[in-house]
Amino acid sequence: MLSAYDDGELISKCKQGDTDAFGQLVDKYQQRVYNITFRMTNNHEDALDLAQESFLRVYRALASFKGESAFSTWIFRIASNVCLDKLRQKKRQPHIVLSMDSLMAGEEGDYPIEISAGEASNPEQHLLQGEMRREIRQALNAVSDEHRLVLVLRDIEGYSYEEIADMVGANIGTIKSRLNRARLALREVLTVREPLTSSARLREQKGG
Amino acid sequence: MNCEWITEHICDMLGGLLTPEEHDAVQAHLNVCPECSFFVSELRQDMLLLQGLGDVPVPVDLKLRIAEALAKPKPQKNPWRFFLPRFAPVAAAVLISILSINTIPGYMASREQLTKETQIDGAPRLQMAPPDQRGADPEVEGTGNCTVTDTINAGAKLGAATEELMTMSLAADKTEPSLWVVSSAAGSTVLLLWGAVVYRWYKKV
Repeated sequence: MLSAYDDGELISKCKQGDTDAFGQLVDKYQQRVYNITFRMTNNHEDALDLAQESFLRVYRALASFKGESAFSTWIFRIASNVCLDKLRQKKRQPHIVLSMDSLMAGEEGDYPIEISAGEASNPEQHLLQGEMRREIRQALNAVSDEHRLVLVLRDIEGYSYEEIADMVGANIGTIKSRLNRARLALREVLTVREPLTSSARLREQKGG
Repeated sequence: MNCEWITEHICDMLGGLLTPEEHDAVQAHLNVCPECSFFVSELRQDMLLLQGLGDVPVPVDLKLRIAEALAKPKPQKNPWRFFLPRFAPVAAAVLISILSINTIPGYMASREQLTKETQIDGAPRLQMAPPDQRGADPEVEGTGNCTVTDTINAGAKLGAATEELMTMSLAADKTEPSLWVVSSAAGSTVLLLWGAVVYRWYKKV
């Protein structure tokens, strides 16, 4: 159920200990927080843990939220930091491997996949797009954490440069330059790998 | 406009942030450079693919897990377990620094003073009796090294020297009182600064 209150009212209620109000904030932001945690980790198990940790940190830090930036930006900044911290921690402990579903399955996992009418009408096209998505997800997972974060925030989630700068704690020029490098790094990964995406595009171009 | 410029400004190009003049110049370059044209189209396709990834289904138990975690009492922090390991090494280091700063110059001063004392006397402190005088006095039989008079004289000299040394050390302390004060102040400052850092850390965690 979406909240009838705006963020300010819900935050005030949360500060007074109203956990239902916090539940409404979770309802409102869980999708975008989960998008970030999943895209950063590429597996549901870690994404779920990190989304939970992000919201818990938000709840504990609510008292210190002064409204200097938008609440949404603040939440996504916390989620981004939680992800980067976790990924750094994993790098320091190389014996920890990603959970099995990250090695085996795609983002849908056991969840139902929504197929649009256009996709359903052309199974071959749907299959091809599925392959391309898999390729791009794997490539995304192969670039550095900082590059992946800006790609997720900008290209997948569609936040503005100003919002990303606020979330990441850098200026807009730095974000642009990082995004530039991230896109080039992603392209390099895709070029080095089996260039399915490129061949698929050529086929699409020829066909269409 | 060249290939390098295109590579450096991919972000603005894909984001539609070029000025009209830049846009026209880029188009003119892309028309004559198939490599750049292909490269830009590849990047644009990558961006479209990323945009097409869309939302990831949120597990239904996320909200439940958050609610359960919030319902659990927050584990109490034990300040000792936090502060002790963070303070002990720096406290030890500061203590060692203070002791060494104050001990080493004092030790060096004592050595210098002892050397000086020996030189003032112009002779070894315990003067050995000549061999032919030994054994004459039954009280010193068996020791065979020095006479009672020598021992008394040596003891008296040693006592006097020690007294003089102590007087000079006190005088030295009076002339250089800043050594102790400076090192203590430095140590305390280090501890205070570290304390502030650790306290902020503790509050954050």
